[in-house]
Amino acid sequence: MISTFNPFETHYDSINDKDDFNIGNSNKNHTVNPLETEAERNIRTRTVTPIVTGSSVAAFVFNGGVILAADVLGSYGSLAKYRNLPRIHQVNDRTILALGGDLSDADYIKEAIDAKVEEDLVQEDGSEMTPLALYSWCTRLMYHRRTKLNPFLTSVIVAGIENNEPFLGRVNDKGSAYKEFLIMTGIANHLAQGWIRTILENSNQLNKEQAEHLMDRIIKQLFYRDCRAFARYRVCIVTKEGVEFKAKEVQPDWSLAPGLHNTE
Amino acid sequence: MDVLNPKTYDAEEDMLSERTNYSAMDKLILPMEFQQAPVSTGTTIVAVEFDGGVVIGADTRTSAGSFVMNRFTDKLTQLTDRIYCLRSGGAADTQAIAEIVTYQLDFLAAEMNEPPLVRIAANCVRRLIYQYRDDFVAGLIVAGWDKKLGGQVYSCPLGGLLCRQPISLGGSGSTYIWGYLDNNYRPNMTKQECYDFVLKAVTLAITRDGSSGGCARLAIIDKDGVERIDVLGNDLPKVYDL
Repeated sequence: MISTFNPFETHYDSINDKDDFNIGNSNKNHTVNPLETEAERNIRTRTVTPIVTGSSVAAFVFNGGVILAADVLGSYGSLAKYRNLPRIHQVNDRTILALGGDLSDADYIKEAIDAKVEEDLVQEDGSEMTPLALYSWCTRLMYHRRTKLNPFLTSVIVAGIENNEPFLGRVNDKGSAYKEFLIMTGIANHLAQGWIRTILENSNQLNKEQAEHLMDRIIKQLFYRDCRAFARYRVCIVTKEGVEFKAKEVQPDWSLAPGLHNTE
Repeated sequence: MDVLNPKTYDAEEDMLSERTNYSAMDKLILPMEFQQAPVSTGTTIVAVEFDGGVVIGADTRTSAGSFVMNRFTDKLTQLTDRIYCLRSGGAADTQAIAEIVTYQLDFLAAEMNEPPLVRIAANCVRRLIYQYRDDFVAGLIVAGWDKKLGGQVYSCPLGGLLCRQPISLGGSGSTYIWGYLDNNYRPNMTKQECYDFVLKAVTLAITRDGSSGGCARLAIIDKDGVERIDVLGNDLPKVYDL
């Protein structure tokens, strides 16, 4: 390798083979090959795991807007450590950002977007970030970090009103993005997406009350079956009229417990 | 597993057990939330002794990784009329131990013509865990009443130790309530104080531990019998939750 060539050292043969048997002195014994390219230098040589994590986010489109819900817990492994971290953020009057997964990366993304929104405000030309623009920007951001093999370990959900139509899209940590009428991140994919998709496909578009009721049912189901779920959650409803946040608490039903003794 | 003829070394079996572990491939292919994790009663179990009996309590969640397999689990397993065990660790391992020990104690009661002692039950559990200590992941608390020594709590943790204690905590949720124990436990509490203590302890652990949750199942064991109490999730005592 070029980095190990030392012109002042005795040079026995021109084949630099690390597997040859070293008889006698060799400067190869104590050399370290520094990583040559920038990609090599930035590569992660150990797995990076998410530390403080948010659980699932559920979102779907109804007649007239989009509804999202996420609980307010940041889990530290299995410990329910930070119980006041809302994960749905308002970007402007018609764009909402929801985040799941590693929450420190989520904060970084949120701060970057807030900086962008402030820049736009400063220009004072009346332009506002639309959901589609934010969705595209997030895709580029996540994919760029993925190519450097240093991903943001979060899922990003972008929702809002685009051209008077409801918009809902998701980007994951690999930079893979899609738009759909129903988005779930995390374990909600397993626990809720199947039956909710059946309900939404087989019904005409729900109105706002029905959508809220259904979302409460989804969150209750996640609270039953997700170990990292929490009872307090936030619901966000985006319509042409604007953005509305609600803080709610799950009302679980435990009435089956007394009848189920001696169950392992 | 053969109780009467325990396992001896078998070279072929030993080599076979190094066969491909397919679940290890899951780590490479599947994202984190979808991977199969062993089913464990990642749990909170508490047992307290009082003069004349014991109060035992546990949560009701069995989890596999992040998924709640059973939200109404009964971790208070009966070994005899007056002896219960609380299970934590691998769900399959602890169920197997409880069933074998129940059989052994039933046989012993027939032989001795009297109910077995709590210490004997705990010893049966301990012997099993110790014998298979490299294979089992099981930490049990054996608690009950007998007429020789009254209410007793014995702890049988992972390696196969037997230790009598006036109060014992176990399971993953127990880490969050050692402080509560150290601050609030006093020896010689009454039955009602012990009940409140156990209920509060389980509630605090449920609030913080992701692997514990649901309702609290308690039992009070004394000479007159076993009183089982289920406190549903909505009725748990209120703790600071913000």
